Amino acid sequence: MRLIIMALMGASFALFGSLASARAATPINPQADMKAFQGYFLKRFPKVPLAAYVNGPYNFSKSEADQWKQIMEFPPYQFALDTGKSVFNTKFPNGKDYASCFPNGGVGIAQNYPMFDPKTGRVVTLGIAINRCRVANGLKKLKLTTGPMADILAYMTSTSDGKPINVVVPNNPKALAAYRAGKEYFYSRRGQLNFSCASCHVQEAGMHLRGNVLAPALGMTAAFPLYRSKWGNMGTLVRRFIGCNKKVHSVPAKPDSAAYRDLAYFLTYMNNGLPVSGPGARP
Amino acid sequence: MNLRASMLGLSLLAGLGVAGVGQAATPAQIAAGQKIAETTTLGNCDACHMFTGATEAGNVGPALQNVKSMVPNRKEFYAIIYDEEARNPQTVMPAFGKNHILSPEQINDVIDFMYTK
Amino acid sequence: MRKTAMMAVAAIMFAPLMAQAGGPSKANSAKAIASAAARIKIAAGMNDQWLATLAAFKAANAAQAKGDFALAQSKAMTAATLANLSIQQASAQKKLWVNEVIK
Repeated sequence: MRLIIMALMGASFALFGSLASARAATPINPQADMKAFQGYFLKRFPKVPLAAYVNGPYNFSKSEADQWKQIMEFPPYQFALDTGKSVFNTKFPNGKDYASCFPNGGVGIAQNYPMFDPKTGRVVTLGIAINRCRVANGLKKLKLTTGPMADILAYMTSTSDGKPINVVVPNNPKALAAYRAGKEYFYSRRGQLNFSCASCHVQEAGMHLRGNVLAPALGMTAAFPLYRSKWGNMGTLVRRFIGCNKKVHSVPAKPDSAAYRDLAYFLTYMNNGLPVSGPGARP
Repeated sequence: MNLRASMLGLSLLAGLGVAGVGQAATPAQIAAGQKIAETTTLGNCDACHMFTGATEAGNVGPALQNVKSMVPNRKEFYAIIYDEEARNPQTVMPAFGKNHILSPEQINDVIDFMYTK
Repeated sequence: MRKTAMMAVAAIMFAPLMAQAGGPSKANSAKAIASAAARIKIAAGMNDQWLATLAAFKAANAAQAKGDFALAQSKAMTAATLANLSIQQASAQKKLWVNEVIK
C-alpha cells in the first residue's frame, strides 16, 4: 500500500512537471468551436431543429413534454417574473434605478451576457452586472443563486424573449483566456465520480439518468433563470452549476468565481444565434 | 510512469479484492449488494443501469441482464467496477474502487448481487 | 470468512504505513492533520476538491478535539489519500480534457 501511494505521488509530481508544456498555446477560435458544437448536436439529433434546443429535455421525452405543456398553462415562474419587474422598476434610496446602470434602460439586453469587461479583464454575467449596479448605488450585493436575484433576472431575461443570443469574445488576450478557461472547465472531469460537464451533457445527452433526461449542452443556458420543480423555486445558471458539481461529489466553486464566470461565458457563447427563452420551467 | 503506477495499484488491489473467488455468495452478501446498488450515496447503479427490481432506472449504461454471461470472469467484473476508465478512457462509469467510493468488500457484494440478475 | 481474510491482508498492508506515521498520539495525529491540510490546499488551487475529502478532514479535526487521536489520524490519512487522488485527477485532466472537445 505504501508502495502504491509512493508510486501515485511520484506520478503526480511527474505530471506537475509537464504542466507547463501541456498548457502550450493551442489556437483559440471561438467561432469555429461554436460551429462545431452546434453542428455536432444537429447531426446527432437530426429531428431537433437548432432553435428547439432551448427547450432542453422536452425534445427527448414525450411524457416530460406533455407535463410541461400542462404546467405552462400557469407558468410556475410567473410570480418571480412579476416580482422581478416591480423590483426592477423601484427606485433605489438615492433616487436612481437599475435601468440607469444598463444600456437601453436594461430592456432587451440579456442576450448580450455574459460580457467581457475590458476594464477589469473579467467576465461579467448579468447577475454580476446587477450586483455591480447595486453596489454603485450604495446597496448590498444579492445572492447570485436564487431569491430576488433570480426574480430580477427573470424579468430582464423576459424582455429579451426570442432575441438571438449574441455573446462576444473580443480579440483581447484576457477575453480569449477566459473563454479558454471556461472551455477547459466544461471538458475536464472532476469530483470523486469523475465526470465532466461534457460527460453528461454531450456524451450522454438525451439519455436517462434515473427518470430524468440529460439535457444537451446546446441550448442549456437559454432558459435560465428557471423554475425547477425539484427546487420548488427559481434558480440561476450558477445554482445549476453548483448542483452539478455536488452531484459528481465535487466541492462547488464560489458563485462569483472566475471558474463559473468563464464557464458561463463559454457555454453561452456556444448558444449564439439561439433564441433567449427564459425564464423557463424544468422538472 | 503514470500508467504503470496505476496498473500496479490495480493489480495489487484487484488481487486483494477477489479474495473470495470460488466461494458461494451468502444471502446476506447478496442482500448487502442490492442495498449498495440501489442506494444513491453508495453504488447508485440504477441511476444509469436497468436491472430487474430497480425503480426509475436510467439507460446511460447497458442494462444488466444475464450478468453471468455478460461478464463471466469475476476478476474482470471487479476491474470494471474498480476503475473502468483504465480499460476504456471514454467511459463515464465512476471508478468506484480507485476513488474510494466503495470498499473492496462492497464491490464484491455488488458483484454477488449482480450475478443473481 | 472473506471479510476476515481481507481484513487480515489489509492490516498487513497498512501496518508499515501506520508504523511509519507513528502510533496514535496527539502529536502524530496533529502531524497527519497538518499534512492532509497541505494536500487539501493544493487540490483547492486546482479547482478539484472532493466532498468526501472535506468530510474526512472535518471528522479528523472533530476526533482530535475530542482526544480520539487514533480516529483523528486515520481520518486525516483518508483525507490526504482522497486529496491526492483529486490532485492526480486534476493533473491528468490538464492533458486529457482536449480529447473530449467537440471538433
